[in-house]
Amino acid sequence: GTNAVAQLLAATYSEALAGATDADKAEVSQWMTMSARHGPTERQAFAQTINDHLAGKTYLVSNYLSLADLIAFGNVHAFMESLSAQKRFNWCAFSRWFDLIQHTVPAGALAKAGLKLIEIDLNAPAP
Amino acid sequence: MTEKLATHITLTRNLAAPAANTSAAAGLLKILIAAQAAGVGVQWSEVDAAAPKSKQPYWVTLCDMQTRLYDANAVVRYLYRVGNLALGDRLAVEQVLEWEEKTLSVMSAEDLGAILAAGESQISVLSTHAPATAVSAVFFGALYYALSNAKAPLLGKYPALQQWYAQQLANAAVEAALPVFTANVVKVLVREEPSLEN
Repeated sequence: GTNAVAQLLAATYSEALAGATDADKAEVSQWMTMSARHGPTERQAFAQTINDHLAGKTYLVSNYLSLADLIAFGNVHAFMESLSAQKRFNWCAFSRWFDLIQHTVPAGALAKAGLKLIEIDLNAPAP
Repeated sequence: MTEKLATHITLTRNLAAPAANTSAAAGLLKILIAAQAAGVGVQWSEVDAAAPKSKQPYWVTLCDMQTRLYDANAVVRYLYRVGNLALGDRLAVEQVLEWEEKTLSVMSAEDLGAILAAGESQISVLSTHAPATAVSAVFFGALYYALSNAKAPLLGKYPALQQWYAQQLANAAVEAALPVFTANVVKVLVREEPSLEN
């Protein structure tokens, strides 16, 4: 499965992505499982979960980039593209996190995955 | 970084006891078996009535008192230190757990035959894992309702799975976990062939 492949890549190239401590590793795997379980029809609920979780946090697990962020980002990319400016503003933690991750992933990697940069404006939309 | 394994985990119950045929119950069984096998105590706690409500039926708080895990497979991975296994072993475990997460755990609990068939399809993999290891704990939890409630004619179609089930039941960790599990889930009546009479 894709999660196992992601674990393999992390173990090979950047061990820290899988979590620095045992507790972090467990949390990373939890987010990866959640990503896998939320199919196309459940992206809204997943985005809401991410938004709630990120209040006061920069990344999904601890305070560093992990597989949890990358896998969840891949899962919600198409959903984010479909959101209105108002919705993106309402889910500000989710949108801020998404913007951070899409600018962390090298542009070449995004393009290879068939994903494009989404312009996100975190200012309140005009009434 | 590998820390010392926790001496206990806290299982906080947020909602009423789950019905035996739900994924919440399956998750509970996975956690109880893994904790028994790892020698980690489970402290039960009820959610503080004043705390914000969550949709999750329960969660596990690790010894650090900060990390909350809602997903039973994540708890199992933590208790067995799956992340610290040698790469080959770890991937072998991850691959089969991912199959359980994406395929088995999303099947309808009512369709016992389909669940048993799915379990049987993985028997060559399952039989390579000893009872009460990470993979066995997860699959036993996921398959327990179907295996313990299916009638003999249906079970008879899956002899290898039945044999695997018997091996699991004989394991000390499974034996110790089952009474705790039974006391904390709500029994469900199974009607394999519903009729006006039943």
